[in-house]
Amino acid sequence: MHSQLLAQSPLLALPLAAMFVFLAVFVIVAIRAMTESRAQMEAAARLPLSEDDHGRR
Amino acid sequence: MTASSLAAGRETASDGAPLLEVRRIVYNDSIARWFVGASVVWGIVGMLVGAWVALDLAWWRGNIPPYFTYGRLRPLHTNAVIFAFVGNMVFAGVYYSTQRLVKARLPSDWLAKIHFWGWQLIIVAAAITLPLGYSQGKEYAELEWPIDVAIAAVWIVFAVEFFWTLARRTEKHLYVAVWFYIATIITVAVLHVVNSLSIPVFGLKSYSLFGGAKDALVQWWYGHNAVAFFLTTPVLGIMYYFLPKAADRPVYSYRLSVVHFWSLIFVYIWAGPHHLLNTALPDWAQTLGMVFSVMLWAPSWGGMLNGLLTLRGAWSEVRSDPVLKFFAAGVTFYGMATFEGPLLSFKSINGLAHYTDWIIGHVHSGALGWNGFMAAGMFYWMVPRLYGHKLWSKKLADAHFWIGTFGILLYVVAMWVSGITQGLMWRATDAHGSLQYPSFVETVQAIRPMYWMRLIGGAMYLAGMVMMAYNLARTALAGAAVDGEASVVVERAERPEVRWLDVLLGRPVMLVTLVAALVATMAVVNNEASLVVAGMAVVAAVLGTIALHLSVDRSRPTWHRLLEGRALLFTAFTLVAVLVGGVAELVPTLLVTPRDDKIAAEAAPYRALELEGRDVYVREGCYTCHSQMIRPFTFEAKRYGDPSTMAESFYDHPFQWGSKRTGPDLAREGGKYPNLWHYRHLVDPRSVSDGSNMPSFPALAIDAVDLSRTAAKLRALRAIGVPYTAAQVEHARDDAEAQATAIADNLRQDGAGRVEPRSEIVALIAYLQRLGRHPEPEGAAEPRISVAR
Repeated sequence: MHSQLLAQSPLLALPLAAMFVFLAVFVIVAIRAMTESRAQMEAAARLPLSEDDHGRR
Repeated sequence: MTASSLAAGRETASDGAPLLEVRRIVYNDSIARWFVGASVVWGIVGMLVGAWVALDLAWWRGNIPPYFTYGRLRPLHTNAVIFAFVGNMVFAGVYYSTQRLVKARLPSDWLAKIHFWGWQLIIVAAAITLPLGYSQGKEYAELEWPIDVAIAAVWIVFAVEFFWTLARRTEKHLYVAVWFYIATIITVAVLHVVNSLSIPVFGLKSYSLFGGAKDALVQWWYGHNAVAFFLTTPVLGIMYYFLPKAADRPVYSYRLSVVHFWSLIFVYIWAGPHHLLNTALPDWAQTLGMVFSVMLWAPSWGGMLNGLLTLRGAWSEVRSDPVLKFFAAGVTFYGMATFEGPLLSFKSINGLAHYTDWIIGHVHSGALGWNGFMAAGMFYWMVPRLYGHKLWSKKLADAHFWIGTFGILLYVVAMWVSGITQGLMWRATDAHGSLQYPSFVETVQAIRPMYWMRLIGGAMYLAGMVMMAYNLARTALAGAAVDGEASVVVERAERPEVRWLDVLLGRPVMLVTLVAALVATMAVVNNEASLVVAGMAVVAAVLGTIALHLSVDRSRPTWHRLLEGRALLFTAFTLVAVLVGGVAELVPTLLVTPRDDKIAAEAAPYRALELEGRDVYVREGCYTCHSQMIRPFTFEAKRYGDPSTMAESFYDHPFQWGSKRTGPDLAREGGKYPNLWHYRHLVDPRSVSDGSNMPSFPALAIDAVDLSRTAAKLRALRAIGVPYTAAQVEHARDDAEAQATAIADNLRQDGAGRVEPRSEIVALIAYLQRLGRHPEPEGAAEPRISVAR
């Protein structure tokens, strides 16, 4: 009975909805990432590589 | 305050102002130096306490009651390593890298100082209060409410400093490391606030707002995501910045890092219930946690491979450069731990591994291998630059690497062997179906050699930390503090930027909203219609994605590219991503409660003395070794009694289901032994259980319970839903004294000698005798053996 109460709760649609949202976002992000221009991606990837000019003591 | 200055204008815009500016930035590296120093010092302290608690388990005399017993020191160890060692390391890495990635100095040196000293003060407060026994009894969230408030305040200071830096950035694009930092800051804030919700009783005492299964779900939603968003995402950000720097080559795939980020933060937040598999948590929540934990394999390994493949072509340098050596090993340990985590989340495997040392081994392969080695790599890279002097000794750093690696391997292998041995012994039955090892202490003695091996491994790792501290200190002393400088060319935008509303209402957002709305309608239509709606959602998602793909205009920046330049919107979408999982998982459990008749049949509020005893139980950290959750396995039922139900712990604020069994489960401890057995066991466990490694608690027989505060405790619990009557609150003291006198008399009659009724040991016995049973009627003299089920 107890598990039936939980199993029939409309609230359980929440995780299902969130799951669909996740899948939709995942597919969209993956496609967007793959279609981004190579030049822009390479420029972004090189951001950490710029060095400090020099240090000040 | 800031050292940015306008150096020269080269071109002018239509309004006559310079189009290009060259700015000189001097970074605030002092704060990074401080946090590095604090991390190293606290790391050694935290691991020293870790070695102490490892010793306590192997050799019970290592416990020094009342302040330095396993149950009080273990929370100190975990808090010190997570929040002091890794926390300070993360702050150092975030401040150092963010300034350089966004080309802006921290806006306020004062905020940075408040952040640093505020965090250290919190650590000191934890180091004092935890051994004194002030604990909320929730793992990795033991600190009492005033310290929780201080943590929230300091975190806000950190957030303000960080986002203010982003607002002043001169580099428009936010690099992927910054995304991970954003996710960390907002998610940790949400987790900390929700899990710390409690009702204060007085200065350093509070009760969790949630009770029983609700508290368990909230706690492990927090506990798991403390691992995810405090120990993982910020360190991934650090990996994405420092690994390319050290290898002098860009990250292997920036595209993969985009997918890595979104999928990781979306999936991670769901996985918390894998800490509660086979418990009384509703089955759907357990399954959800298991499925998402398995899904975590993909983004975790995507990130791990992205890190390791960044080293392609640089493997020869890994052999000679200690920084790369630590990073390569750290990322490999990340891969190992994130392979093992989903594996342990399968219900069947979890049935063997849960409550055993296997979980401890898993945690330490992540903490020592991933966090510890990434910290070491970062420190060995940063300190020479922060002090303008090459590393004092590469050989010593190499020695640190090898002693640390062997230390981890010894530790982890010992825990694997110990965990699997114990798991198998707990479930072993003979030809007649009886337990082969009915005495729990037998299973403890079998793994004791592994406890010594773990101590040796941990000590080796600690020795490596001391070597690192010496090496870094010599490097710093040989040089002098240096603040990095950079010149940046800042372009004034002539064209108006894309409006934030256009990003917010972009096509991908619209598509996701449409899919979400369709799925949400499933909740309000009947079963047949919901199938149709589900089909429509899938079709909309597929067709919409194809349409989005076909409509890409390569001459214009994509939607995600625009988002990467909008810090506030990016933060908002990240918050939505983590909230989707959190809300969807927590709300159903928080709103649905067991039926009233189930609660009436299986649960009742504790009597006043039992509640005082429970507080002693929480104070001594008994939950660090004893669970109160019998899983629905035959071998558990044979050893402990019927499986626990959700209703039984309904009034438990906080829940005490536990996560580790160094000692047996106590869910149905009440009535199993006479009061005298408990008395002797608490004063000297080996007097009744030969071979036990439980600490002795002689002080409990001397120290008195302060009954003047008992009514306030009942009143506080009543305020959060525990059904105490006004009369019960008013007569709490009288009832406690009556029950205490009855137990003390019983002890004296059985031969314990004179026992002070007000002593803590009497209250604790009252609580232990209540576990799994109906309450004694008020004023009852003799314990009643009446198991609830």
